[in-house]
Amino acid sequence: MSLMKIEDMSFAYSAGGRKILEHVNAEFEEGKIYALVGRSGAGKTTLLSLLAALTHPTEGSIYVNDEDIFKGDTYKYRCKDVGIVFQNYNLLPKMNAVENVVLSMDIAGIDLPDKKQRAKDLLISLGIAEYDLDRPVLQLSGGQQQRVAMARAISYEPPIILADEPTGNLDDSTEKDIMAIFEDMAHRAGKCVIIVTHSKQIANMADVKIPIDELNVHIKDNSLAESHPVN
Amino acid sequence: MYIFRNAMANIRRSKGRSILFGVIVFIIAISACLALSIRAAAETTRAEGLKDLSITGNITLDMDEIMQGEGGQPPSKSDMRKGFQNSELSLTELEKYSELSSVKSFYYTGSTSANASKIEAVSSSEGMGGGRMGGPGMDQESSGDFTITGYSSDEAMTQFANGNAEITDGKLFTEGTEDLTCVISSSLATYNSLKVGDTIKFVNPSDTSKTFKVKVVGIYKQTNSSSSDQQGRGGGMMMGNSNNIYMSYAALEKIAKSASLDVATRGSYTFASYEDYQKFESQAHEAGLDSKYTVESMDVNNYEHQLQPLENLSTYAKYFLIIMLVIGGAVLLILTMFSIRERKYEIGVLAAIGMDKKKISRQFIYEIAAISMIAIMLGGVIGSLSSVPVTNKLLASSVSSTQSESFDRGGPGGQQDGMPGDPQDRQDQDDQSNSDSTEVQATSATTNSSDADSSTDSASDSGTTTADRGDGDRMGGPGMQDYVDSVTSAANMKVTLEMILVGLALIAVSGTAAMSGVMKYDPLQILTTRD
Ligand SMILES: Nc1ncnc2c1ncn2[C@@H]1O[C@H](COP(=O)(O)OP(=O)(O)O)[C@@H](O)[C@H]1O
Ligand SMILES: [Mg+2]
Repeated sequence: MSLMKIEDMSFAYSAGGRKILEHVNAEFEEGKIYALVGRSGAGKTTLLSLLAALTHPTEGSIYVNDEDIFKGDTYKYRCKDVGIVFQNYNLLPKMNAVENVVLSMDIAGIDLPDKKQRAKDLLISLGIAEYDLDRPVLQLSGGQQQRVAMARAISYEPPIILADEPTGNLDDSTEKDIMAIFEDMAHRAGKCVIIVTHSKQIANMADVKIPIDELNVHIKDNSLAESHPVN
Repeated sequence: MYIFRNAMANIRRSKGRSILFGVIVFIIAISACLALSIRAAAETTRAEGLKDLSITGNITLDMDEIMQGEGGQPPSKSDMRKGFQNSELSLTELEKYSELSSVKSFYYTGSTSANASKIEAVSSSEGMGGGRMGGPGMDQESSGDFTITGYSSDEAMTQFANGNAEITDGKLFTEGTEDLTCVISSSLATYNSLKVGDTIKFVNPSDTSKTFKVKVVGIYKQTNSSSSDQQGRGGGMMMGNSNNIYMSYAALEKIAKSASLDVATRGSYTFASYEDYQKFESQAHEAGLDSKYTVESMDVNNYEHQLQPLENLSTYAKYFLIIMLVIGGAVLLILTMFSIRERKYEIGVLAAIGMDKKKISRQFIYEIAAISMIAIMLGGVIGSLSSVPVTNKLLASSVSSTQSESFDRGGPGGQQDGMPGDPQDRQDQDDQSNSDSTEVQATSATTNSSDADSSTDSASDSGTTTADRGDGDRMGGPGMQDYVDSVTSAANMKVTLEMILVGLALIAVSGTAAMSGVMKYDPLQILTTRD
């Protein structure tokens, strides 16, 4: 049985505007890594935003455990059910790594005696050096910020993890480290991990590769027209 | 809980922003505290002053009512004359109102004027001036050289009671006696070599065939016991007083009957409290007092005059407070709006990671409230600690500006609003030389209408043409030295409560701005348009 299901979902940024997604259907299961691939501008980030309930579909819906996520409290959904690793990290710049992680745990309502220690452990396990833990996150490198963002996303142990081009601007060895973490989360912790990527390597490491154009009825129907630049 | 902790952490993280916000609230708070303290000081000073005041009030003509005329036109002289003419309240009527529950005690005086055979009135150019002014407004042929005043009781002889006059030889006439006995001034005695036991023969100035004899039982002397420099400046007036003959009202009444003299009777009511004084007017009207009369107290008027600079300051403080709150509130509003704009990325991230907008707003309001509370507390404490010296400093300049204002209007007398046409009013000022205990004697009977008219003219003349004399002959009124020029308390419990309200209002204003800002931002828009 699938954990998350997209049912006949369409989306346009403005009412009556161009449909980025049209009649999309997909299912996602626990314990697997999904790689969402496609050319730039195909609507990968848009789809991820919908999966994160940051915006509402024009038609259709998304179900998690058979519940329509848009009918419930989308804030609660975001802070408990999904962990999001944004393309540009979206960390709170004035806080340090630990504070960023603890805040997410707080928002999720995690009741632990020492959240700070747990955040530290988590960050260290993701490869943040101890002396970088209490520096403002803006002083950290891209790779380090990526790790902090991942730590934040998994700190409250959501069943679904969404990551938008998590290895986009990282070197090869860091990329491998990051992928190892995702594999660990999916295969050992049983999370449903959905990664947007345009890296063939990453896509090949995933359990399921989903070319976004194949999901998208609209794009499929016009796949021939696609090769001829009409617009 | 974490929301509050996060709010406190944010205050620390963004020191510059917090300090800027705090400083603005602090400035509003200290200004508001000072303004409110000044208002509190004025209120307290007034209440306490009135509590300590022994109030004597009188029924007087309501000048506004009479001067109003018909159809917006100023009244003609004859209209005014009619107003004055019908203004006589009989002693019976005056006594009727003394029965009212608000009245503590009642006394009355009568006065008339007469000439004397054999003896001469003390005179000097200055004295004549004073004497004329001091007469019951009868500047023409029927006016005598001497003013004879009759007192219903010893209490009525306020100048003796308050120590401005004392018997130096002989004794006072017996209270309420019908015996034709009087006391005269030491100047008059010396001038005419009169002594206790002598008899003076008086003549009705309008009808020289009518005479009466009065025995001197005592000699009084004006003393400069208090407010000596006012007394000094009122020299002319003192000369005028030298020709005042005092006796019992009952005796005066007897004389008036036998010598066909007109007596102007004035009643004075004393009150146990300011509240009673205020109650008296409505009670009197209920008891049948015509609406053209009003109740006035020179004690209260004087006191209010003394409070003028403080009241002015209090009014300025009110406007300052309003301006400060409006401008301060606007600045705070704009600052909040800007800082929310600046923080929209933060709002977007918090919303994206699942903190709902209500919680984000709450966090922002906590930040605003915490800074505001500290700033208001600091402003309030510093404001209250400095409120007394600041109030006194501002009061000093208010006093001097009130002074120069009243000089511009022709001396301190300019402050007295009473249309100087009330002849009794004027005489009265001369009778009682000490402003602190001055009473306006209830005007009841002016002898005839032309008197009232002529004195209206002469009085306004003196007010406009000779500023100097205006100053002098207004001595009964408060001098500029009498202004309340310092306060002992300013900030109080009420100010504290008001400061809390100010604080809540400021928090509400910027809190609302923050909340609407937070609600406005859509996390996706913020996050996707960032790069
Ligand atoms: N906030 C937005 N408002 C309007 N159009 C948008 C917005 N974000 C993305 N788009 C458009 O939607 C399409 C899909 O964008 P996106 O989902 O970011 O593509 P991808 O992530 O696959 O590169 C693009 O054509 C882009 O211009
Ligand atoms: Mg994208």
